[in-house]
Amino acid sequence: MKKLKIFVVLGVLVASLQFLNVFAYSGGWEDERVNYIYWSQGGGSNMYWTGVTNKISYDQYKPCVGPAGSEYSCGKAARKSQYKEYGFWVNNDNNKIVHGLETQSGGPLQYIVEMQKD
Amino acid sequence: MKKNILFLTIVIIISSFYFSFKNFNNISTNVIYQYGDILEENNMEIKGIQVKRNINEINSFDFHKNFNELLIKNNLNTFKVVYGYSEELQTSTVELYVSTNDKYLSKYILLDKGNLDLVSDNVYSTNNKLRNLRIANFFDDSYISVTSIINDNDNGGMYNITSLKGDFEQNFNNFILDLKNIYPSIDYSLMYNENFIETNETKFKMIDYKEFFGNKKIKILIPIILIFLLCSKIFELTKKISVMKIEGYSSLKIYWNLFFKNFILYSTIVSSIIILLLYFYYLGNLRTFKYISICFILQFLQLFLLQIITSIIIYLIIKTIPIKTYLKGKTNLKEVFSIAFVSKVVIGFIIIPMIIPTFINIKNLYQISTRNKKVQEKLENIYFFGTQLYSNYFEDIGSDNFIALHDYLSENNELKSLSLGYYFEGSEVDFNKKIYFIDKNALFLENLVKKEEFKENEIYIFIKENSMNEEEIEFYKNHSLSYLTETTNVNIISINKKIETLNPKEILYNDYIEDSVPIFYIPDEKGLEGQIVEKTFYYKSTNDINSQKYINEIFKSFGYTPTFRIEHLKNLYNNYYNFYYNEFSKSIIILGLIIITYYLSCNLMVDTDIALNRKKYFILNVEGFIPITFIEYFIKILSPIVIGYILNLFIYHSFSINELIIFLAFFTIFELIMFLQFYLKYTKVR
Repeated sequence: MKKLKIFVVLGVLVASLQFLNVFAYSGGWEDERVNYIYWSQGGGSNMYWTGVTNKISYDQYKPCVGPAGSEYSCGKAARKSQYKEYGFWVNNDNNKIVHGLETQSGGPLQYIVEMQKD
Repeated sequence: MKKNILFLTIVIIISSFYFSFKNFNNISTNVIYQYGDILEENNMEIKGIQVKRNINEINSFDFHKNFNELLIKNNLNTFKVVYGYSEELQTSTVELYVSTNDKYLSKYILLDKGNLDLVSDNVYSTNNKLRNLRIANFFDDSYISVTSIINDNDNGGMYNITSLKGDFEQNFNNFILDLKNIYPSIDYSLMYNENFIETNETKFKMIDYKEFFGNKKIKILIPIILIFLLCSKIFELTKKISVMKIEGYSSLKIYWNLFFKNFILYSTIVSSIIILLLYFYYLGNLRTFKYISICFILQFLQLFLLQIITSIIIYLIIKTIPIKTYLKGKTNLKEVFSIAFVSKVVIGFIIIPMIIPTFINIKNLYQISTRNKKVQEKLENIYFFGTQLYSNYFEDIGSDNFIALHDYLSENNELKSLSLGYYFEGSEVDFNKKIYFIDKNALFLENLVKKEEFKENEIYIFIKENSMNEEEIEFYKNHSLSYLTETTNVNIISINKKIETLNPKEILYNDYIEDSVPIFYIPDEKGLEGQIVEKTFYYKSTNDINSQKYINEIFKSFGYTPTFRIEHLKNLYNNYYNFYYNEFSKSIIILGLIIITYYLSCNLMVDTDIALNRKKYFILNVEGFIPITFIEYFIKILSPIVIGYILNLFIYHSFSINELIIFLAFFTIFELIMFLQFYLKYTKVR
């Protein structure tokens, strides 16, 4: 019985040591205009990605990534039925990342998701 | 014993202090990254506006002084965050500018001494030598600064505007009108389309308690190592413990007298000294003292509690030492032996899956370290287009002028794209299927296609000779067409040369693109030609300020306002290098600690075995026989690692032959060294 107790105590110790790596987050959004995805590679690699498939022809959406509250960066514009993705590193300490789409005709950033960094 | 407990306490205190630094640095600077959250929590709506940099010629002090005054006049305030990299400090930088009527920042920012004064031209930063201008931190290598918006020397960028009172919309419109009266050419764009925004509802927390529970492995291993070290001292006190028991002391009382009382006493004294020293250091700002004390105490409590839990082993040893039989040579330490046995099984179980990844990490650490100098030299003159600035350039996409700028940079600065992407299907991204994207200029620079044979509007896929079967080639061929709106011809070209990579993560290990990864050339579609985002370029100067000036001048000569923040590829690479260097080093430190723990658990087993069979080993030694054979040693001391291995097989299913060989080689060498050392211990039993 005593040995069993020892096993249980040390088993808990093992379980607490076997904590896992942080998994990457990802998400998406789809409507009649775009199919929009975003993700991070996880594990603190600081590379955050946004991808867009443009479903309409009259505007070109650019996938954008950046730190919250500051200027962001965008990839190439995607035309109708076209997929484009963009990945960018942001400051290591910043824990909020903005994913969004910008139209070629300018104007505000759209489909914004602010994500807490993993 | 007291000296050992004092040593243990000091190790615990130093470790707690070390772990509390990062928490404290985060508490001290979190406000910079989450300032928007604080305003939102105070029910302040935020409008992000991007101001075009077409007014850069205006004196920035005058511009921001007027900007600030108009904000105050219209009951608004602002904050602006600028992310960058300092060549001089060799670190990433974050600068926060706020208007002088700001009322929240001073409540959250932690200074070494005194309070924030935004009306002055003071710049508060993490590396300021003057303590009243220093943002409190310990060994934080990043540069963070806070100052009034009046000190901002960049007339443009992203300004976050909030309303202090009254109607926000009206205040904002009045502010823009006032600003346009003074600066008619000012041009801005709204950042967010509020119809679509989705944010994680994260509240600003001065202290995020989750952050205090990092470094679990190290935190658990330190008390285990310390207690194992103390165990060997306890064995030297068995006679004393027996005598104490004869005198009527209970095991708990002996445990209290020998360990617990002293541990509590020393912990209280040493931690009080540390807190007192911190108090005197932060006498000029007791709020800062409060937070560093909280960090230290929370870290200390974790290690303190873990130390108390692990000290149960000491109590069990005391409990199993009999009242008087020790003097007659009889011992009853089977339970202690069982604990040591199970400890070794547990540690073996943990260590086995860590060995292979750690060896890989050691190899990676060696690889990135030895390549570092070479890569630094290679990237000395390579830059990329980083943060996008609000500019008239993007409105001109596909025009002759837009394309001419692209061609100018291609011709003069080796503008090229070698970007890395991933295969996707729907919203699922497959990280195992990499794809490199190459542009026209890179095609010619890498001599993949001759200019005269190049077909402008067709897709090219370059595949390393014999690296793919027909099915895979067909898969990528079909996939490549999804990047274009119209079907075109796909040229599959087999290559046997290596293509250089400039991907900052991949260049850590290799100069070339992996052989198994296909390289895509997808032509620009009509109307979208000439885009330079995601491309790198060469510039003769190794200073990024010069390259920024150069690119701004080029853009200006083509009629565009500054459009990109130019970044050194070397800096991006350095970020990756530092990150992975730390990660690999950390895993090696953890493995080192586990090996020490493993060694100490073996030591405890040997000590208890000797204590249990002292008479037997004594007789064998006196009569000139071998006290313990390898087979006996194997059954007694080595069997736990075999059990640990079998448990791993059950849980992780299987190991490859290579892993098995590395595992066996590692443990054979390690256990043989230990056997030789412990054998000497057996021979000395008298």
